[in-house]
Amino acid sequence: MLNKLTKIIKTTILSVIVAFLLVCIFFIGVKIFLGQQIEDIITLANYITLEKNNNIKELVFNPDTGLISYPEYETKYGKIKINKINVDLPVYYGDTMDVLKKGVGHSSGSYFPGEGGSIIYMGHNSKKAFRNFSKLERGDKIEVETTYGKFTYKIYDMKIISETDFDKLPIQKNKEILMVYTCYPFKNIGYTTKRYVVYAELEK
Amino acid sequence: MEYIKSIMKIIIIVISGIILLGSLLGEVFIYEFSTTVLSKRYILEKFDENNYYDNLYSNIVNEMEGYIGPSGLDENIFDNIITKEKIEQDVNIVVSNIYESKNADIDTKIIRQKLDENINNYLKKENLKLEDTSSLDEFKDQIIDVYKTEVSYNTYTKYIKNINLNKIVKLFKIAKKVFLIGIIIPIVIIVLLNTKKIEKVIPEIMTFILACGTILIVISKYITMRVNIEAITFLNTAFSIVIRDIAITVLNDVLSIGIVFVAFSILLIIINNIVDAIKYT
Repeated sequence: MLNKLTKIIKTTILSVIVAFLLVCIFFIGVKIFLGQQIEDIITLANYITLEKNNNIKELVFNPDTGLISYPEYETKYGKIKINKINVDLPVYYGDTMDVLKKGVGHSSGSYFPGEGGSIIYMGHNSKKAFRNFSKLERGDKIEVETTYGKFTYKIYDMKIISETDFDKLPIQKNKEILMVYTCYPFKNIGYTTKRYVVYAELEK
Repeated sequence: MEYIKSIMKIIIIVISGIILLGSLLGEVFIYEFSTTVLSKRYILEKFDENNYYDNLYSNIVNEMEGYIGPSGLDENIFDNIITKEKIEQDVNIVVSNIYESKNADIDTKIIRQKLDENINNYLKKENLKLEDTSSLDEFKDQIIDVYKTEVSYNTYTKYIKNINLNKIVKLFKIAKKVFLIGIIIPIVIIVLLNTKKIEKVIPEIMTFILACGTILIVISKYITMRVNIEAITFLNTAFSIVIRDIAITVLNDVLSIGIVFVAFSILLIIINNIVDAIKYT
């Protein structure tokens, strides 16, 4: 009886070992011949994954090197205040339609306040946002309060540009400039193809 | 001579087994893809299961509302311009265009008419008169474009149509037959080579099925480990939910088939060995 049992176990284990060897050979073959392609496919698959972290990360700012950690896309990280036209709106990282419904968007390709480069903000020309931009003049102040500091900018120029005039919103890292734009004309009915840009430089 | 014969026999069995293994794997993947991604009915069922039309409706409304802020108009202008039924009808057209290589267009005339009506009512109510309507026309075009883009993902569907799914389905049908032959012939060869020791046929075939099952389990687990399927985001929320569901279903199916193969083959190996042990006592 014991002999029979031993034989059954032995032959079963032998089959499992052979199967295991086949599996190993299969995956070694796949690794050798298709390894790179498989890695590429996995990279591509992970490229379209987006982890949403609802916990707001605390932004860490170093005055010499700029921000050490950045906010999650579409999350609020500060406030913009323009006292002259009673603007006090939240600033979100990103420029999607959802963001612009909630407040002011920060173009993801631009710098953050305090980093020393161009910052691009945008908002609707609605009453609660930038409808009164035309009342702003050179010398008026724009305040940006973030979780890591407060920054004040002084307006030095205003321009009306076309929606495709990206060269009028230059990204550079030598001087901290805040560019805030909205749709123009302010009281237009329909789709606007022009933008009203306010240029301000860091005061303190 | 006997020695060479037995070596040759082993070599033929191994080659047949490898063909059997490859064909089984091929058959499983062809079956899985034909019944899921390449099946129009399956995709439409998944849309239903995941409330795709409701989610898409919310997406479209949300996108359209994004244009309200700078337009100077009121959100009420979007009242009743689209319905879930219209979205479902148009999504069906898009899916048919992809799977049956049709060229039917999405009709947006009704949406345009209702939008015109709502805007005119709003302008009357607010006592607004426009001398130049070009920016208003541009706004309406943008809204219609939002609808078309959200419903048809035109950039992507054009690309998918170029792939020609019909051709792929035909190729899959041929491959299915080839793999089926690839399963039958090795089994016949293994049976013929073991006519004198027929009790060896089942363990030999089952060893390859066991290997196939293990490979399927490893592939499924490997993909689940390496790709964060729950976080796949493609085109919009509504579509991402469907894509995630399909990916999870396909991987679970592969895993289940793998487990069945492993359990079935081990069970048959054990039964065969027990019968064998009893017979030769």
